[in-house]
Amino acid sequence: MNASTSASTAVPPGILTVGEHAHWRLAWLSTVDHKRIGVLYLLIALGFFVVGGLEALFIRLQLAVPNNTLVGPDTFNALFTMHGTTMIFLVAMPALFGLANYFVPLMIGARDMAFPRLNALSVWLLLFGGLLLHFTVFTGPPQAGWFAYAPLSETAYNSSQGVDYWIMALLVLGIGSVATGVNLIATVLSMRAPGMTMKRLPLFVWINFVNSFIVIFALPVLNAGLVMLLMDRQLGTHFFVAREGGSPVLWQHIFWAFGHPEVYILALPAFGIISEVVPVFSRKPIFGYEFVAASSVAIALLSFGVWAHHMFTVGMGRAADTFFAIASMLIAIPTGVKVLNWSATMVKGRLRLSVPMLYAIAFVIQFTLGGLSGVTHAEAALDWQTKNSYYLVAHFHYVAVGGVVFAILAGIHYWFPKISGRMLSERIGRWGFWFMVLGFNGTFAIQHILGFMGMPRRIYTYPDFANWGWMNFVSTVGACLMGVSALLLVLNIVRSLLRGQPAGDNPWEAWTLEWATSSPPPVHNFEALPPIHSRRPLWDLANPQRPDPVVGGDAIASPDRLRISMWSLIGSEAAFFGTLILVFAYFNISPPAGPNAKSSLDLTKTALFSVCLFASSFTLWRAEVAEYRRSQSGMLGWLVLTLALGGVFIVGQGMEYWGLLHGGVGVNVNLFASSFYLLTGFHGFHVICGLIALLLVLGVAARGDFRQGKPSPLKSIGLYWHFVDIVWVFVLATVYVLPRVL
Amino acid sequence: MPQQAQCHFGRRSSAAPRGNHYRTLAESPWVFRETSPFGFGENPIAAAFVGARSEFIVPGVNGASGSIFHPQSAEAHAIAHLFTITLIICAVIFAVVLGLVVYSLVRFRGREGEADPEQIAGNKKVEIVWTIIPMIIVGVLFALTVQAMQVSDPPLETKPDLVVIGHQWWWEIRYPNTGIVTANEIHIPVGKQLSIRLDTADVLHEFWVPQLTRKMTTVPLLGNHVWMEARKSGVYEGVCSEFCGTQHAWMRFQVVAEPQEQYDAWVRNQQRKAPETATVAAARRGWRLFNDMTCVNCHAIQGTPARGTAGPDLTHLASRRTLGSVIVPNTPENLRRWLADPQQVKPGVKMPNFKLTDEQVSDLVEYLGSLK
Repeated sequence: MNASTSASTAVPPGILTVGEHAHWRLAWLSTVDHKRIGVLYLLIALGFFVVGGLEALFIRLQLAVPNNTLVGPDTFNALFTMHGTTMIFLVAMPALFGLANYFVPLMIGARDMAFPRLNALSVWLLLFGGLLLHFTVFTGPPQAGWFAYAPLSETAYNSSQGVDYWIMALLVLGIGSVATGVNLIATVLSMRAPGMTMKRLPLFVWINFVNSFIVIFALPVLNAGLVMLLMDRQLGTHFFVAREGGSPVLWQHIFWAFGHPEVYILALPAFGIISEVVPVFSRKPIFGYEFVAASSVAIALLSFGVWAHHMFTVGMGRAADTFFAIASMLIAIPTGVKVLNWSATMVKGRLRLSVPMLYAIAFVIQFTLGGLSGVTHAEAALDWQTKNSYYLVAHFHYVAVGGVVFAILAGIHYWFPKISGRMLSERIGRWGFWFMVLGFNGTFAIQHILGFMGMPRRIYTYPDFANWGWMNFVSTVGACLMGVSALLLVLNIVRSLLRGQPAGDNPWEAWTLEWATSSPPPVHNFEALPPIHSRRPLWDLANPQRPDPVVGGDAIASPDRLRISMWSLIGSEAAFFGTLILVFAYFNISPPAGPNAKSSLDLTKTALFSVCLFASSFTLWRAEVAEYRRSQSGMLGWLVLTLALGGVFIVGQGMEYWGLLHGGVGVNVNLFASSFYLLTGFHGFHVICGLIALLLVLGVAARGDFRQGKPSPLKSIGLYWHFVDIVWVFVLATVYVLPRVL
Repeated sequence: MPQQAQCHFGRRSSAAPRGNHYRTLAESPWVFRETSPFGFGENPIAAAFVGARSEFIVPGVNGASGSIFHPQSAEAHAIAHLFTITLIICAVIFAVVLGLVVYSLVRFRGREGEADPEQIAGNKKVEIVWTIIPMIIVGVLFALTVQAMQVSDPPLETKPDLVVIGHQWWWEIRYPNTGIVTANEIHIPVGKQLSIRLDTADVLHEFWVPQLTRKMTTVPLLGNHVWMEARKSGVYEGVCSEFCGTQHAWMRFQVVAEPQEQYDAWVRNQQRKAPETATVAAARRGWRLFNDMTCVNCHAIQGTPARGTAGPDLTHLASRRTLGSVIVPNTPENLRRWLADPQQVKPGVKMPNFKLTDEQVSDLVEYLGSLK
């Protein structure tokens, strides 16, 4: 330990560890360290932020004056499609994931995430997805908007491959995000340090934990929709083509069932950052920890019940409009509680107005504005006027930029000293802050009024109506100021890395565990942890005469991370299959013309191979029992039997497909066929994945005891296998049985 | 003889006040392209303030695009009313939050070396109070919303007075009761509540006239509808507000609300079929061109063999205020530019450049100009 201290004084602190200067490229490429992965996330986000920001600048320059021709209509449409997709999926989410990756393990006193290699996979999937999306520069970019409403996103109206790459990119990003969500849940549940009970979690950790559930339940819904759109485009199905029996409104339901929770996937971690920064710079604990924590759960739950407020103008009918209006308005309550809690934390504090706090204060004010204009959108009748107008553009930028981006900037300024070991310049930071506040509000405040005056979003130019010209020009000037602020941020970071003041362990005198280690932290994170009895262990350490009241008991439960992750994955998969089953039910409640479930499917044969699948759940359970009893041969025998039964099922399904295809029931024949292949195909794919996993276990187990004292992976894979079988119960009922009974 | 067409167009433009937005609209995108390599047609600062100068009066009410806060129908009024109440409530809430923050900033600024304050971790009573207050506010706003929804979106009872069909990127307007078919220009009598059925020929569009009615998406086969009414005569701006592809920006339309007699006169004129042949030689040549070329595949002219439906009905083209979904005013010069190369006036429009000779263009302008 002495050696490492002296070495780190010889070499100035930096994100590169001593001795890695020689082969730093390999060190970063092969890293599984959550801190480096966090930094990679942040760097990727910064890179794409530059791209998305330039796109935004071109959008604003084109709109600076009426009838402008800086870029043509198609270029403009590509610009805003890419801008939206990039900023949401490649900037905001990665930046927040990056901060969570870096600081969740540190804040709970863990050595790393629960699954470091899965973590590395997530970050590289992110980069791959981003490159896939930007590969469209060569194929013709997507021009259907970031929510790709059908039928505009169908091949008939968007024939270039742009939309296909867009779909593939989002699928890749979605899978990576689910992996991150699973990883964070397992980390928080199983990796906490002694004394760090769930009741003592820092709010940033708690909120990221809650948020991870939204991630794992919402993203699969998008993935299901993306697969359907891809099938429409590549296999000639008609899920979203009205005149062929499909439904463009269904795409909207699926997209927003993901899309609205996505808003909270961005907003909740931002709340988490603010809930850390405001107390530290007010020198007081957060006002009403329990209310902030509970309101996050309330928001997460409500976020799944409000999606159709994006669809008040598609003609859902009065009842649906009314339901989603009140559901959406309810979200204002837990959100309002949070805003008041942050404000109350500042009251009677000793405010230190450092740059992170400046961003946090601006966040509270701007997010309040964005939230209030959100309430006006929840009032369905108002949305009938303002939807798709610049008032809406202003609203969601107040939430996404004035809220989320400002919180990310607060977080970056707050935690940069920990990450790099050096302070950012306060002076450049302040300049950057004021440019950002001025630029942001200059850009978007005036857009509220443009919306009132009837300016729709996504128009590449506009007539020279009274006041439209100068208002748009003001907006463009604001965007340029934001650009200056972004440059200042990059300048500040580079300057600090080169010759910033060394930060020390705890430059802000903060109270959470990440400040209890060196800056930057060593690979193993902590030399020693302080005792944890409250939510602010470092406060207790610094103020032994007035420590925080002890919160609950010290005992913590650390469930097996494999099982936790498998349960999370199962939850995520359930959302995916739930969507597919609903889609099948939707298209087959009244059978479409042509082949249908009754006429084409053979229940007897299917029942036969279904029995095999169900039996395989039993045999796998026997294998687990045999393993528990340490009977190696018994376990191997039951495993082989499970594999055989699963194999029979797959062969049976293959034969059914063969028969259907030869009977002229191709995937694009009608919506019965499309939804049938979609649902059973994905189930079959999962069975095959399960078989491969079991085969691997069998192979390892055949060579001896694979547990080596650790919890058995067979249990987790068993969970997955049982889940796949249970899904088949629902599929069997929906696809084979119900159409006969009804 | 060309004078006649000229005269006709002259009458049209004199109907709108001189120096109106046509002057700026006439500077359609391609003009800018010719004059400026940087895309800005003129000094951007000057250009930015053009809109504020009063001589550029647009044909909308009050010389503006029309705001949702200047409603001219019961439907739009109900929404504007609810909006005003909501904004006042929101302003009060915002003032409270801003007040708390500013109060803290002024009163509780920390000084160097000062000890940390009393560590207050919360107050259950206060929390409960400020959870309940938003609940009450939400309840009130919800009740008001339901009320406004009833007024601004009455159910459709009878068959529609109007059918509006969105196309990429223009609006087809059909009057089922009179059989009139027109495009991008909806004429309505003042003070009558009309029901409009919305449909689409291709992708989703969205029908929106901020001053007259709520917006509603045109979804294939769904049969959405809105109610619309204008209390005052005037020209109201309408627009497609759902992104629908390349020329979404120029999928505008206008609602012309007229007193009943004027509206009736308009109906009588629209019901006339086009003359079989033209009296002017040039127009006759134009008519032959129109029939011999592929124009008839997309356009209909009632009373002639032209029966196409992909493009706008041209039976009374010359009576319309604008071309290309309100991208340029309907003047012979603009019609000439359009026919010479529609792609230059409205890039991406479905009508291709037919590479007509100047003479052919003149003949077609002559003929189309006669379709009053």
